[in-house]
Amino acid sequence: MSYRMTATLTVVNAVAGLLSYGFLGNAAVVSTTTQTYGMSLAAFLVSGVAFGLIVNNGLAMFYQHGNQSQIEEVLVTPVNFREFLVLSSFFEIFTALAGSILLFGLSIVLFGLTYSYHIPLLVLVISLGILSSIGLGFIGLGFRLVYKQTYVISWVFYSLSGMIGNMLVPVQILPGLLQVASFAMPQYYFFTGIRLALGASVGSPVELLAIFAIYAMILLIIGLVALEYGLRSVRRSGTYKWT
Amino acid sequence: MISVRHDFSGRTVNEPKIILNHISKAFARKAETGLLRARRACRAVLKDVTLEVESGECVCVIGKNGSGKTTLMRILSTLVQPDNGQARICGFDVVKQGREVRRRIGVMLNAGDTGFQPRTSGLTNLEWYAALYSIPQKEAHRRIQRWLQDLQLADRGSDQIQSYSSGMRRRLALARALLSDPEILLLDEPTLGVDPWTMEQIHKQLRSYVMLGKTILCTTNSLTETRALARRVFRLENGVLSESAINEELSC
Repeated sequence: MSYRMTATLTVVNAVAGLLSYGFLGNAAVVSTTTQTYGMSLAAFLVSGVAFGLIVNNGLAMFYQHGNQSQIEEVLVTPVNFREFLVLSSFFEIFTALAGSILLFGLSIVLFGLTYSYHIPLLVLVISLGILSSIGLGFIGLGFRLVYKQTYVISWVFYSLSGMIGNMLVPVQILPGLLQVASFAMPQYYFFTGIRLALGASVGSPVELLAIFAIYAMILLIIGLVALEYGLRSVRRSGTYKWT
Repeated sequence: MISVRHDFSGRTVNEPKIILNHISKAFARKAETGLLRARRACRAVLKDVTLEVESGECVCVIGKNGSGKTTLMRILSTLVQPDNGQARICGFDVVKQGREVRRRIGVMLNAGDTGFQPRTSGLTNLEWYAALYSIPQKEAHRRIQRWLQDLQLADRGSDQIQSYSSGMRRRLALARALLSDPEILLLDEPTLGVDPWTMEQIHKQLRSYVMLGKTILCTTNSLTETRALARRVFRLENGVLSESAINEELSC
């Protein structure tokens, strides 16, 4: 598929998702989100869809730049591979950020949604979201180098994040066990932080931010270790490619 | 006997540019897959390989497909770690001082036509790799133009890579290996799929590179290539390296 076609389909999918959840949210009358976050269900859903672009691609963040047709040629240059991955992904990070802001703006225009804006908190949460995405990206690539596929790890993160990541389904309406499981997802902290930054009834974000910051740092450290392990593993096995 | 001493940074100087000292490598492979289990086996690819290449020398390693040539090059390129033995380039250990080694080598891998972005031009691809070597933009542009010219790609430099023939991609991969003006050039079957006229052109460029005092280690399965390039030739067969009989012919 060409880059233009891929970009077009990505935009269409994102807008379609935004519209679906917006309509769905508008149809809801009573909402847990109003009590917990001070925003309507529609506002909850579209903010989840819009800002999901920042964290939901975390695992696959570096696949394009650590891909199998290029990785060996990059690894024989003196460049630091981790720096190379992060610097090469700046454009994608910027695109995800710009896409999120555009979708968020579009949702306000289309549905007349109202939010409160706690900009410093929003910036902090987004920054931590990007940091945890980088950590997840290193983990994803390390996993891929060793196991040559990422189906299992992707499934764990992406299949579950919509449900227990507080992205689309408010954690408060989930059964107790799933609520506990959601605390293990980095997405939970990210999306909860976003709702605290945009909702009318802001509780104290300090505890959430502290946990999210520690979580993001842990993800980054695990990611660095996983990538190093992955690279050592392929240096032993000689199999950089995964076809 | 080669005298060995260390400079202030601990780097060994006055030693051959490339040293392989009793290198062995075996790869695990999935020999048979049963219903419930996979039986793993090991395949020795390099067995106790020892080789030294002096500064300003071009050495060829000749061998059949699957003889271990590519593994040898991948060890020297820091892509693969040997199981036993030590490999050094310009006095640096390829395992422990990989980054220092990579600063001094230009590599053309066996599948060297990959690693290019197919929808961007040859020129842009080379600029991208030049940035990885931290070559200043102006200098990078000068070198790229030079190598595109010398490797007869100047008129196609602005075309997308996907329109290149396999021979053109090999030449572009060679240009990429030469971009950083490396002390050591590691070439894994550099003229694979290249027509005889272009092959002669590439050999001419490589001979001039050696004349500048640079060192080349090249693997090939072509006797023509070894005769055109090498001062010394080694034969790799089933992972065992030995001096080739061609050496007597070359010394005449």
